[in-house]
Amino acid sequence: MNVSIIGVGNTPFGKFPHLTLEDLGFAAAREAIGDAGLSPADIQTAYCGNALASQLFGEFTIGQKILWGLGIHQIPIINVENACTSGSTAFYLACLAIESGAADVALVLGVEKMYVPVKKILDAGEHDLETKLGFIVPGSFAMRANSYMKEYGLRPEEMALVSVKNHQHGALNPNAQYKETVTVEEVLGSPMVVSPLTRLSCCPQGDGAAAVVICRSDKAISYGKKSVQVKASVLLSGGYDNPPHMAQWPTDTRAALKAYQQAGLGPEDLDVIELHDAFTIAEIIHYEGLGLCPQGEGGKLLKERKTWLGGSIPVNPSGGLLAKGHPVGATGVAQIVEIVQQLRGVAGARQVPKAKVGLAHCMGGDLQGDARSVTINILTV
Amino acid sequence: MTKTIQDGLWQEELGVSSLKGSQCPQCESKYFPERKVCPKCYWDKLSTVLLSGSGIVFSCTQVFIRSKLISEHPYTVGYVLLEDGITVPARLMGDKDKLDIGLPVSLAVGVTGKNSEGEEVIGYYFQPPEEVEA
Repeated sequence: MNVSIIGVGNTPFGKFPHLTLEDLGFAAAREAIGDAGLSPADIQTAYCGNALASQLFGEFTIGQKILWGLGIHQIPIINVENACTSGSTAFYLACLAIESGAADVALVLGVEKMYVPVKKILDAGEHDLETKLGFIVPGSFAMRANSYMKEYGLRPEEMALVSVKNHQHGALNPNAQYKETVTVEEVLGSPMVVSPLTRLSCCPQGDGAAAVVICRSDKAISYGKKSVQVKASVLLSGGYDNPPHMAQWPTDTRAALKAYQQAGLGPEDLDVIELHDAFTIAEIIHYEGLGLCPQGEGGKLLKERKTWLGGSIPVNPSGGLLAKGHPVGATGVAQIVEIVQQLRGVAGARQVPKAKVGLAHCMGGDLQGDARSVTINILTV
Repeated sequence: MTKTIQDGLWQEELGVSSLKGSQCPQCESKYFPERKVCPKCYWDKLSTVLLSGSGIVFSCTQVFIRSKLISEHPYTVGYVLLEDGITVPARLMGDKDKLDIGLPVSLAVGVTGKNSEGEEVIGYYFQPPEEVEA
């Protein structure tokens, strides 16, 4: 793709009752524009990912609301909702805008505020039959965990290692929501949410924002920053087979194949990965979807510490959704920010040495036992 | 008259309840709940079919988060693989220690909880066959 990332910005993730959506989005966008060495007037189009503001605050078109305060006026601004992939879908659309020639410079913002005084359990959709039957969002992942454990013999204490690893990584990330390490015993001993997933097997709710500035690769050099190339950007909806595939996500596999083809790279070329570990089981199944190991061997990859910092293919060095946090609309952009920092070599204590190729994977929603949305972005320096 | 969790999901004939699905005459795919157009081949003249009342638990989970709509705690939901070859989402009732992947279950209709107005609602659920008579 003729697209490069020239600026990144993000806020810490966590619970910030005193900060508004505008405060969060403004901070991340401003940092990204400054990092690119640009001024707001240079932004020719902007895409803003957000999933929950309409449900929680009755807000809409928040991209315009946030960006006018930065002096970004009279340009196309598009608001994007695609569940957990809202931010990464905004990035995908911005890449298409650059590729098409519609704009030379674009801003991508992902922002979410989930921590509100009146706690509300998030439904997948109150009119869905599943919701009326008592299904809740983590339930589809819990069923996957049960099916996977039955099919491949994965044990609960092995699955818990995902949370142990990602909390260990999160402890090295100053922007992570959780900076405390946890043990297998603590993960398994925390309160049960949906069997077999305990509280520490599920990502937290939180607030945060992340932003990137992208431009045409042939113009990136003129901005003088160490730019990162976008080699592939893929977005796919699910296949919704019935019976569904509970121990795998075929949409992961399809999206990964498409991204690897687009990039001319394969899983063996990757140095670092950020993927959608909303629940412990998800990370293990995503290893397999991305082709890091054969089906059923994700647990082994984890146990052999290949996906830990210091291993052959570190996954979620940021702490992932489990420890860094998961402000839904911000997540997809924050994963890209993390990969850019890794490829620039500025990731501090969590730096993967000599990282040249990184992949960001995000997944949104569940329908008929399949993902509603999968995004994969491959970046290189 | 008691409300249902959603109208049109099942019908009762001679005291036997069956889930109502659709079948595509062109590609033979079955769907639950009923659909107007086949998502696989776009055929728009689907027929209503009564689905088998028996199947096995395809996957399930116990929900420990307190629900305003369901008093049972924890309660179990899952997908049931029907003899028709498709899965349906369902509430699962019966001995929690036995409810597991592969367990044979049968359809039943009865009070499953409340709606958002706090009124009792009738829904469908699946349970192990030996518990149907009890």
